[in-house]
Amino acid sequence: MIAAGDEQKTHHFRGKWFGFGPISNDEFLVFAIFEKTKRNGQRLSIGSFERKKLVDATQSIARQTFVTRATFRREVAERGEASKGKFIGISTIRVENVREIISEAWPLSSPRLIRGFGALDLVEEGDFDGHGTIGFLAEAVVPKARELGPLREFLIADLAEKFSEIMPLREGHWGSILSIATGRISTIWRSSTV
Amino acid sequence: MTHLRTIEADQRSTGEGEIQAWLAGASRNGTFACSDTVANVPERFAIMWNSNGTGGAFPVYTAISRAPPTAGVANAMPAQIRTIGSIRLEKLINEEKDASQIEDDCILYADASVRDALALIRRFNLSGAQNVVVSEDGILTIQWRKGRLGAMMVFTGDGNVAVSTAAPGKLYSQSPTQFPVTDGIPLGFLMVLKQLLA
Repeated sequence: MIAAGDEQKTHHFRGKWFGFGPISNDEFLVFAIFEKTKRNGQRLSIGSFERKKLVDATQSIARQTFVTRATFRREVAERGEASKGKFIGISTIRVENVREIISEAWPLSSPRLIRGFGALDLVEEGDFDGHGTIGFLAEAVVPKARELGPLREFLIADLAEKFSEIMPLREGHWGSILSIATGRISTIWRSSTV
Repeated sequence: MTHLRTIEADQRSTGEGEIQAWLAGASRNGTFACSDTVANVPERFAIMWNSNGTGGAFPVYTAISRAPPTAGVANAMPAQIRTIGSIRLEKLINEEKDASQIEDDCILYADASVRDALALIRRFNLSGAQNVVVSEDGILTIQWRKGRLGAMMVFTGDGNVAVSTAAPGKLYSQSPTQFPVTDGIPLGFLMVLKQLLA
């Protein structure tokens, strides 16, 4: 799960000078859909996401601005086909839409404001630099995971609704040499000033 | 459970004309060749069963008409005709549960979630759900969708069910409600379901 402040820090395994830094609200995230991915026709469904991965904040996504189509095809589509079946397409979501999913009506006994999800620039060894993850914020799953169970399911349904329709890989605004270079320079500049 | 005795042979009771006398009680003191066998007999009937197997006050016809229902199931089943769609949904839930990888310490929750869901489905003849998901921690979710409209029921296995609906500009997580499975489903939610299934 994502704790308060985690989204403002970098999570690249090599450190703050690498990758593209924390994910900003105006970025687009890409979710890969394979034959075995559950879906409702051309849209994602509540079964498309693995609960455990969302709770652990390890649900993989790609940061579209910082990944070329060729890299995505090689690192995600072709690699995933081995275990998840034939690659079907992609679905995208604006980060702002991930972070704006909130509830003010749960738990029913004492409702409070609960933000559902966050996005991290988590890059582990073997991942490409434009890799990231989405997951539940700590406030959505603790302190009583079971009591928050229904809310968690509603949040997942909202997340699925906010993703775009499934589209072919050729669509969307993929990263270019220019956007990737700009992202790297920006990350280095930010790291040197913090 | 109790031990009964099965009559294997009785020379006197096989003769012509003796059957009536035997039934009338004339042969009660006779010797029977018996062997032990085991059968499931409700305790309240078992105590009425004569040890010789030939007498006592065991009211056969009464016993049949008063045979106790299977515990739990009958209470959940209403006196109404189940629709095929409802039976299919029930089947889908069981299949989903079997296919899900549920954590060992959550299996009891998963069982309870499914039990609660089936009770409501049977009571209200619910059908036509698009998605059924059983999570690793045993939470069962049923979702109905039509375009941008949707309705969800979430069973956590604690005897409660949480429901919510979605529409353009309205998220599921915005105004969910929760109630005991033994209560009725809120009318508003049923109306949305009707709209989704129309």
